[in-house]
Amino acid sequence: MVVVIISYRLIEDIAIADACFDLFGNSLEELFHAGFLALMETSVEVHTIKEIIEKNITLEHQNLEQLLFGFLEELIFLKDAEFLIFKKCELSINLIPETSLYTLSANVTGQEFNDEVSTITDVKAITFYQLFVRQNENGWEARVTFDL
Amino acid sequence: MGAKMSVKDHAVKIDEYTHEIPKKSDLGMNAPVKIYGNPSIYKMLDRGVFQQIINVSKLPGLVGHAMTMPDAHWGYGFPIGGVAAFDVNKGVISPGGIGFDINCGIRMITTNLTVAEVKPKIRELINTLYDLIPAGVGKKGSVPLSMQQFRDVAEKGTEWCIENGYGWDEDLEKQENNGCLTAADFSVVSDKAKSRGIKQLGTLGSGNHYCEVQTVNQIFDPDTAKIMGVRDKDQVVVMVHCGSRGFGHQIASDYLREFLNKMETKWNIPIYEKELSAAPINSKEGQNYLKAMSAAANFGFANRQVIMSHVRKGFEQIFGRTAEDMEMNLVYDVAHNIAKQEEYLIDGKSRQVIVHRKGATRSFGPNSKDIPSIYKSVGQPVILGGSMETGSYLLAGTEAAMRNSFGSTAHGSGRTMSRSKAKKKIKGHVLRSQMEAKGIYVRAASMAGLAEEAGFAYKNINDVIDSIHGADLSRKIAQLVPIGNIKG
Repeated sequence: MVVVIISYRLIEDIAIADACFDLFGNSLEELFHAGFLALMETSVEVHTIKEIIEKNITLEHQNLEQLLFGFLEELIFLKDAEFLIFKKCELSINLIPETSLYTLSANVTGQEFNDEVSTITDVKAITFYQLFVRQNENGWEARVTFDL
Repeated sequence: MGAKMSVKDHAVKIDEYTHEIPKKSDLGMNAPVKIYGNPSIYKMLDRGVFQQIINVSKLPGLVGHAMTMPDAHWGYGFPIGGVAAFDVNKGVISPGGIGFDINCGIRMITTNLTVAEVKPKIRELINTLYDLIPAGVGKKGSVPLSMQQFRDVAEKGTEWCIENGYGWDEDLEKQENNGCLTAADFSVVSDKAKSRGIKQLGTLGSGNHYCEVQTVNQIFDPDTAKIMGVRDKDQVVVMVHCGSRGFGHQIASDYLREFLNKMETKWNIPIYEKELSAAPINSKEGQNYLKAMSAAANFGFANRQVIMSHVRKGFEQIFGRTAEDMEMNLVYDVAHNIAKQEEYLIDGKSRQVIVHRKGATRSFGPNSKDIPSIYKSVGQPVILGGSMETGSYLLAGTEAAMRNSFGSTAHGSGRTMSRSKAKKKIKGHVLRSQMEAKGIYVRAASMAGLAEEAGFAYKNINDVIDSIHGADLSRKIAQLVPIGNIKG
């Protein structure tokens, strides 16, 4: 039997010119990975990306909304500034008790855009529109909207 | 007890094209709201538009009405198609009232070619333009810039392009503000924004951005059309629709976040929606955003200017004549995501206001300051891009717009269907075949992206045009239909 885990869901009737997603995960890492996938799969046909270049992203923030926002914004930055697009992402998120800061470390793997990458649409920005990250009975959920 | 009133129930019909939500309604508004649109448009307006424009009406220093244009649809912060003017001393400036793609806009270029001359070579022409104009996600620009040159682009806009061979001297005056907002200051732009923009000059981007070869289908006002360079049915023209790319997107994100962190604590401005962030226009932060936004706007003008120079080059290659000989003149360049300081007569007094236009076009009427002398007698050209399938319009600004809508009008068709629904309804390659059967040759960086822009995903542009013409926000001059399109 093939088990399909749905990690994000497009919300059709919100911000119709753009793309609003609900994200799900058993852990914060899974939740942020769902955000990574939603962003990449909005931008390109991910199966056309080769794993050639690796980047490390580290961030810290007092709240999880800002941490998710910052993580996705960094991926958009790398798309425009370094023309990079990613296929894989390994994440670690921790709460540092001494500082009450959430820290994120992500290893993302992908390549520079070329004609073999099949593109879809450009994500211009992450928005604060209805942005939330919260724990539920099954783990974690979040909502994020991309400006296209 | 009766059913709970929806926001729309507070609206009062003023005339065939206008509804108003009065300030006194029990919605906590600081100013009244005006909704433009004929009955068909009004009926279809989504609830988000009403709630968002009411949120706008609560911002400090709003002058007159907060408004939505007939192509309005749900955005964030302001609705797309939102217009609001704020007092230059007591008001605010809002990144959410301008949009992420600062100075997204459209320009129109004439030719003296006819459809009979162009149609046989349309594939060759579109393929050549597709090769010359980088389009789609992850494409590098065609103009390498040093950081000093990038600064000059951001502070001088179109003028930099002319000085560097991307255009003609006469292009300069046929752009809003001559293609340069003089408030621009590169020093208040983040390093991140600079890094995102430096390699993107001359790129189309994606989404609904395009370069389209069109033909004149109908002329409504031959005299005005002639002044604007549109002389005959079947004349070929070109439209370019794009903005300030990652540079503007990052500037919007940077300041939106900064304002959001300070709105309640520093300026005592309530946050009605996180994207509706704003700063007092006279604060240091507000002034810095104005300077950075102006830099992005200049990049937007320059981006379209560079692309236009590629369009001229492409036509020269295919038709073996110079662009001058083909009279490839710029009609006008309009911005539809921008804020500018302008002067209006309000209650008999002249007032300086910051007009925010988010998905709305300036529509200055005859004899307005700030429009080129050749258009003084007829009003500025207003360019409305329709969907790829349905066509676009050239209109003229009106005196009524100066009185009633802070010199503003609609900017396009306005979406009614989400991108994913459009993709479920049609595949990109099927749409391309259908368009080709209708005589429109398309090159798209992405077939999925093409499907998202299908004509059925947009409002009927004729309803939008009927609304703005009927409300006298703009006067229709000519209808243009596509024969070829490059989509990012």
